[in-house]
Amino acid sequence: MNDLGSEIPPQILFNSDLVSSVREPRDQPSSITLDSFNIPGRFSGPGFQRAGFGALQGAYAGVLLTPELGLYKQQITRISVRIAAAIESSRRILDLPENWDEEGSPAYAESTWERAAYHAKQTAIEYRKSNGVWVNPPKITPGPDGSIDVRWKTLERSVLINFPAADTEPVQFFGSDGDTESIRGTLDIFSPNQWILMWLMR
Amino acid sequence: MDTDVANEVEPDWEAEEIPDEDFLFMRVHQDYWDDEGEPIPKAFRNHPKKTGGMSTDWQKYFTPEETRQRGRDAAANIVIQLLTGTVRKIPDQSVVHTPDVENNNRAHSDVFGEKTTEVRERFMQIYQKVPL
Repeated sequence: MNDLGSEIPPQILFNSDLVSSVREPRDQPSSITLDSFNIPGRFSGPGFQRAGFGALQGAYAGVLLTPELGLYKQQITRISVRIAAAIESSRRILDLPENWDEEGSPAYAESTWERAAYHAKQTAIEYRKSNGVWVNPPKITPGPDGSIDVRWKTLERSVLINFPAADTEPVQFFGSDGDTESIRGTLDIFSPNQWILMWLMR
Repeated sequence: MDTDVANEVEPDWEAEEIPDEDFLFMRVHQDYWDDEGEPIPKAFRNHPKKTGGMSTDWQKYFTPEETRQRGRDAAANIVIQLLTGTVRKIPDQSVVHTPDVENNNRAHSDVFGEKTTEVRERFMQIYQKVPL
């Protein structure tokens, strides 16, 4: 087991055709996509390329993390009380019945909520490991068509991540500062995604 | 004029062009609030069974309070406002005045376009709550 706490060294895959798989903004300032920051993660679409072994470059933190540097990371085993409370509170989404909004919305599956909760927890923990602080809890709310939304927000930026009811569907996200910077794409929730919070907290 | 005929005469409301600088008011039911009384992203949705767009009211013909009162339970609703020009900058969204004669709502307007994750987040960033 390495110092990042996983049995298998982190693998970095990126999609060289990412730009074509992400919708381009219309008549808007240039947006920042994952590809332009060489941020680790597994993206949907064809043409995966193995970019390296165990090296994570967080553009916003400006730090190159290697397995060796991982020796200095804090081992975090418990989540902050506030984040834990927010995640647990969101479980009431599962109590919503079929057609709860009288507009035909389905009920929510526990597996969908678990994926959203797992992402929220792991992302917060990974960010804490790298930066030494806990972020404010996200808001976890009912989404369209049985999906669940997780929204992280600061005064300057926000990012919405949508977890579809079907786990075969991609987890999509969009974040923006409301002005010139934006990020968009799909996530592999089982890869490290603390870069999203690093971007958010920039 | 015979009163029966008079009652059947429908108002002649033509669809008008909504200027970018005007506001759209939108009712948000408590089912779509978070714990802090703010809209959740799902609040920004289309109504396929009605017009297919996201229903709003144009400020030219309605006040925020009038918008709120059109809900079944006014107290269970907040009203937010969206600047038309900013809405039009959201990808694939169009604002169209669609007066609703059947429901006597001359202010009715639709925001057409798919409400994707990106679109819903952009709406979250631009809405303003109207104090009532």
